Amino acid sequence: MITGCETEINRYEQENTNEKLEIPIMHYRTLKEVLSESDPLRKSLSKIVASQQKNSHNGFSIDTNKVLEKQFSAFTEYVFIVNRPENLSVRVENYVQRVYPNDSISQYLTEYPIVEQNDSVFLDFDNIKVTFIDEPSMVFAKVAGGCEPELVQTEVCTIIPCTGTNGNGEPVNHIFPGDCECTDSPNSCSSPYLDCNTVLAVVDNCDGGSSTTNPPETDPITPTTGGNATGISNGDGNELNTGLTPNVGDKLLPKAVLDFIETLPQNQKDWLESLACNTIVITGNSSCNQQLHDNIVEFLSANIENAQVTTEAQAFFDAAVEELQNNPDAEVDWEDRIIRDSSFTGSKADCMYNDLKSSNQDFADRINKFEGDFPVSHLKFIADDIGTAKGRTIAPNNTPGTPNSPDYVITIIINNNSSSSGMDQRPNLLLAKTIIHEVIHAEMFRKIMSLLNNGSFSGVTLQQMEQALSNGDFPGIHEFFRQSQDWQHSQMASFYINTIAAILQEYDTGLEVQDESEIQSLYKSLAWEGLRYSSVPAWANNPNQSQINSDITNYVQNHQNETCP
Amino acid sequence: MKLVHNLLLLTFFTCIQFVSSQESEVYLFFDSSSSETCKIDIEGEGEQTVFKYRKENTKCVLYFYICDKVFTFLKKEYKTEIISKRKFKRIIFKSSDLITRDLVMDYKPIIYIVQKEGDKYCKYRVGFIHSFISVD
Repeated sequence: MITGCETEINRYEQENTNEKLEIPIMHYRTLKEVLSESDPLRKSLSKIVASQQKNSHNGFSIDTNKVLEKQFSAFTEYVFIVNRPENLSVRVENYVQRVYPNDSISQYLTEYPIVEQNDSVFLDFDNIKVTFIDEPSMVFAKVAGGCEPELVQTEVCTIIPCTGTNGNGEPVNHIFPGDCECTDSPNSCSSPYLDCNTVLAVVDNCDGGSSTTNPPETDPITPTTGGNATGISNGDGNELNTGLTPNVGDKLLPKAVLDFIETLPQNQKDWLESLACNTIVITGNSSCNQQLHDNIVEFLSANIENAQVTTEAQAFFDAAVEELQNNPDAEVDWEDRIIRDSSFTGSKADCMYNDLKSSNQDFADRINKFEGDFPVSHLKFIADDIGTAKGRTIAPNNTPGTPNSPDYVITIIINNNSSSSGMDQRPNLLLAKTIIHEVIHAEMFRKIMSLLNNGSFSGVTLQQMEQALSNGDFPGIHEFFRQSQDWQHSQMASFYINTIAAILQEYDTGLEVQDESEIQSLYKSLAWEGLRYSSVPAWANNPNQSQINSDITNYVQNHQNETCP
Repeated sequence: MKLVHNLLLLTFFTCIQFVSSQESEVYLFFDSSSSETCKIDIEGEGEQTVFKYRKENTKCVLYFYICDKVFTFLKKEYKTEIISKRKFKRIIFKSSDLITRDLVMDYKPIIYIVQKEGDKYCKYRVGFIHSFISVD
């Protein structure tokens, strides 16, 4: 009758030899009992319970009727069943609070995928996910100390005694392993058995020991997960809880990202943390934005060199976060690494920019050069009053008294005042031209930055500039730099007129320009706007100045105040 | 004794050199009442004769134009300082012709523009716009 249990016992003893895991003492408690015995837990849980009552709790609620208490030598864990609004019944989820002797608390979520097989339901212990709450991204690095943590498991078994009475009507003696001393009819007496549950723990492999024994002073959030819960039967006689589908990120972040986050100013750290929707919101409304949080984390993870987040990525992070903190309506494309200030988003120029990028490969290619594969600098678009100028490109610099742009970020300003230079008064095609014109300026700055190996122009001397250009891969820029104070316009007029004109024609007609000979004169004329300076040789020597001027003047007069199509 | 004297002299000249090349302040006088003109290259219009001293006021930036040179005063970052006539008379103003991209890149001088506004002398901390700061 106990043959099956012998197997269980052998396995139990075998599993217990796992030195990485400490087997906790486990029992179910009521919430009332738990709260009466633990001050820190009472403080923590009362907020959660209160917020649940207000129905302002973010993401999930916890079942407070049944609490699994797990006593480890170094701390105690309280495991709750998680309830989600969506009942997809594909995962079991637990919310765990760990209380240390110094009353510090850590918390995390565990997810157990449910697998159905042959009409039975199992927990998939091979795919358990652990998600830390509060500072989820910092936990693993601290726990692991640079080493990969390991999820280990073993089983905890409780002896379930036999029931029934002996011939004297007394409860049977429990002999285990062995038969019960049932002398009544066999039907009145059950066999003893082991009720075994899997216990899991995240352990630090660096010291080869269990993280459950000596949690670091500075890191009170080393998790251990329990695989047992109550609710539905798993077909093996055990019961599983009925936790629902979680909505949490669970990626193990590279240590470089964790280190970077740790060094952030507190306001940035708080802001980043607030984006994570898997953080429990105790009071008030959640401002979480999991997508943005994930985009940022992916951005940082994709920009690691020599075990560090690159300087360029850090600079972009700073610029983007500052923008988002100051202007929640701003948009940051973390993949393309382009910041669109809130003044720019939704504007006519924004509309034109998006149209250009989506419809024209050449323009998109130029924009792409500011993206991840060319990590020299990034773009930021803003709309502002810049007087009579139609557009302006600001190099990364922090020169006192001048308009600045953050390190590694080139800022493009499109005029939004009410003059004839303001975007709303401008013809669409010429506004598109201005955007292209400024992006080419940005590209020229980007090329020089790649030579300087510097995130800013501020500290660069003329000699350094000359040296970088003379040794670099851009002899054209070097030549124009030497010849003209207005080297950018001179170069643009000499080499980019057809490029600008082709993009404009394709945008205007919707037809691809296969060859420069196909470019119509109107678009070439419009491309000249912003480049018609006497100091620009290509303009000074251009025999078609009158026609070009006339084309531009007429076009402006006939297409004022256009709206973005 | 002579050696000490020479050393002191050397130290003195070294300090002068440092101030002039690294931390020099340049004052420009912006004479908005002047009818002086100069020719500048205006986009699409060729060389045009304009007043030498021109100003353009936008929401955040006050632009000072001296012929073809552009200086910016950032309203949010700096405050206008009112200086006394006595102090004004002691200022040694430089010609804006001295302010070039090359000089600014190498020596990074602190530039002030002083303008007479009514009976007040206003001093602005400005930046010089060149092709490695911004382009239109």
